[in-house]
Amino acid sequence: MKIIAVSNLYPPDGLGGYEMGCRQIVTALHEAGHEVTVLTAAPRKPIHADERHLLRTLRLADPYAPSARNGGHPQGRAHQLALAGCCDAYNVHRFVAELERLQPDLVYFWNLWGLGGISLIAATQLLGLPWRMHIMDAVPSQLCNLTGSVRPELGRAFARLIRGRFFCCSRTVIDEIKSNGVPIGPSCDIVPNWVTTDGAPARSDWLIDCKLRIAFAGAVSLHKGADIVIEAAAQLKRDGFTRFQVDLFGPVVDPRFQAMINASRLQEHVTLQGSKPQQELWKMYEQYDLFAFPTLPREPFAFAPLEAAAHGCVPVIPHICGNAEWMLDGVDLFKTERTADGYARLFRRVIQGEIDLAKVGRQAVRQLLRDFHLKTIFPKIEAGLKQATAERRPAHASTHDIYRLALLAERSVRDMLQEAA
Amino acid sequence: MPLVALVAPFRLDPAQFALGRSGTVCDLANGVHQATNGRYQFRLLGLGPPVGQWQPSAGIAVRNLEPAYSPIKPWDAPSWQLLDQLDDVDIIHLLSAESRTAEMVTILSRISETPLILTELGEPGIIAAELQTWRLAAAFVNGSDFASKHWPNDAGPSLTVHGVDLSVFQTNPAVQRQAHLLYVDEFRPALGLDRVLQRLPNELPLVCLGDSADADYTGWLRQLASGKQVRFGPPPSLEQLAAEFQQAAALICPATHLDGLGRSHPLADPVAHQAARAVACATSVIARNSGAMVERVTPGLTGWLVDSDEEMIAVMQAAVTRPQAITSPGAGVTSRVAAGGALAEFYDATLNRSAKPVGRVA
Repeated sequence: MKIIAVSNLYPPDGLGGYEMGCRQIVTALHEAGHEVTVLTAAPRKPIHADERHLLRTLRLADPYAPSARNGGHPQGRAHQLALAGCCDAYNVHRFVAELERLQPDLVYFWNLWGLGGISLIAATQLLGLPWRMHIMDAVPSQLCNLTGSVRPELGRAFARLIRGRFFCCSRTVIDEIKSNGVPIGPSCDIVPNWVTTDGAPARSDWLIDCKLRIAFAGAVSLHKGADIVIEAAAQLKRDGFTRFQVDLFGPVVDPRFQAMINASRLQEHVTLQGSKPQQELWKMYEQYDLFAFPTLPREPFAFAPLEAAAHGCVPVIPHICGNAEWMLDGVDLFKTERTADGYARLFRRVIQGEIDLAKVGRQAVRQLLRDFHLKTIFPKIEAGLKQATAERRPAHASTHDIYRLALLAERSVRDMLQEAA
Repeated sequence: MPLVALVAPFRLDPAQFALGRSGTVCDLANGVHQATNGRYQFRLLGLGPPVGQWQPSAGIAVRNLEPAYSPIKPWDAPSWQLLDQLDDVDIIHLLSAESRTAEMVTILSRISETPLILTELGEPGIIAAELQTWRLAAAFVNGSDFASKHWPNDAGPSLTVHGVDLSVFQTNPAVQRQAHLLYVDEFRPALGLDRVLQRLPNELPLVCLGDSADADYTGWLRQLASGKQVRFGPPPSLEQLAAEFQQAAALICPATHLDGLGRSHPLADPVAHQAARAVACATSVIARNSGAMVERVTPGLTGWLVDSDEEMIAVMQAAVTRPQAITSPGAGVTSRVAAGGALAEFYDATLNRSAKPVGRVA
């Protein structure tokens, strides 16, 4: 197959698992003999040389930038949101030119927020090209959000008019998109996230020296629950436990977390370790017993707990989140309530030997490497893409008309937002 | 039966059905419905409060849409309800390209792959011209041959349809013509009523029906009419308007446009709908020699075309004092303003060329 993959960000420029997952699938497609070109935005800061199949020629109306969320005039932010989700004529121009040049069999969309995603999908459909989109966040509802929430009519129209299908990583993310007003459910195929690591199938030791070692990886932030982990550690210490260590890996932009550690005098037990390269992190997981991941209920399906589990670092996740759909409490991970009490209680039970951690750890490694390795997941994705290629239709618009339509839409939305202000 | 969405992307004002674009739309809706001989269903969509006063034909469902909030352009903002209302239609027939609503309809028609037929009831504006958004239409239905010249030769299939509702506007031999002239339209400078009133002889009776958003201009018109035989009245209902046409000696259409250099030009009305209604009632029309008036008015048969204000006054005087000087059209000319039967075939052809795909591929 000849495929164009489109993603707002692409490693090394990225925010997390979504872009990393995109690159892993692109690599797997290459290895399977497919011709894949990635079209993405110019990076948000300078990066080193890229792979040859990569075109960083789109522009990003970055909806994740703090300035897009907090700074500037509300009108400017509204305009940025419209460019990010609805229509960016410049990106349509570049995208259509690449489609004409490369003549792909299908378009494989990833996260389109920031690229004017609806206009890219519309252009693909008008050219009669089949498409699939990989969903690891509530992207369809982000695209339809012009004014701070999704207009129900717009959400319904999006769901009605799409002619492609979505690979969704969990029911959680589908439900969120639906509850945001975009009922794409019938167009979704659920495909779980994966690991590419070989894991630690030979691991045999947990709680070495009777000490509990807990890892946390991801953005050290409130939405990932870093505060809950620190507070749970404080409770352990207050309860008299001393043989435990918590290491938080990931970027720290908020000084409150170090302040929390200091205030609870946890410096001996809790350390902000900063970011580590992914492969290094995988190796380090083998030295930890638990992976604390008190993420928000809307978490679609994080990669980090999977990777930790593959190395025997047993995840502890909330009862409600995307990851919780796929794994069993007490079998290959632990589930608890998303509070410091809940996490502290579980840590105590492990320390006191009430739980057979080694048994769960070994089961987690086996389960991950058997059911969630990319070697297992990829054939489903490849088959879905192959099926899509049969959906090609005659073009319904010329490239000139598509660009004209994009210019009209961009201008019309901009003027409408200004006139409504 | 295929469903046509007839979209008026502006305020459909129940108080204005005798005048302006709102009046043209309701006539056009009934007219095109009659012209398709019941082979198409219609859904008339317009912005604004529920339509009163006007009785649509049985095959027309009227939906009033709530425009999005816009303090700057309250009746130009698109209605989100359009996204649902256009979902099940087979053809979108858009009655102007010049508003945010029109832009949204144009975008939606292409994304949903529903053929778009464009009718421009006003003059194509700068905004539509800038991007040549008319190129996104599959076909064009024009209110006149003059209006069809707005589009380039390669723009797409085009049909001229007059579209007067002949069930309302018709001759009535029982009504006696009276010795007064009639002006029916909005009161605004571009339509030229002030220039007529300035030159109107005191003894020439004129009935002016309409209204204005500009109270100062209306006041000035009344001042100009002072001491003359001029009666002002509010916009009539469609039935009252037909009766006014049947009674008047002639309809005057004095539209002129003053440019910034103080020169006057004929206003090129692309539809001349009021004149078409008058012709349907066998009422003579005295109009400026421009735009679609040239098609509505055949000198000596359906009225008179004039080139200056002075000539207009002279013909108006003749119409009242020497009625034989201008010919009364007679019932035979009404077919000139009826919506042609070719519209159904035109819809058929458009549908065949670019039919909306059924169902979802995936």
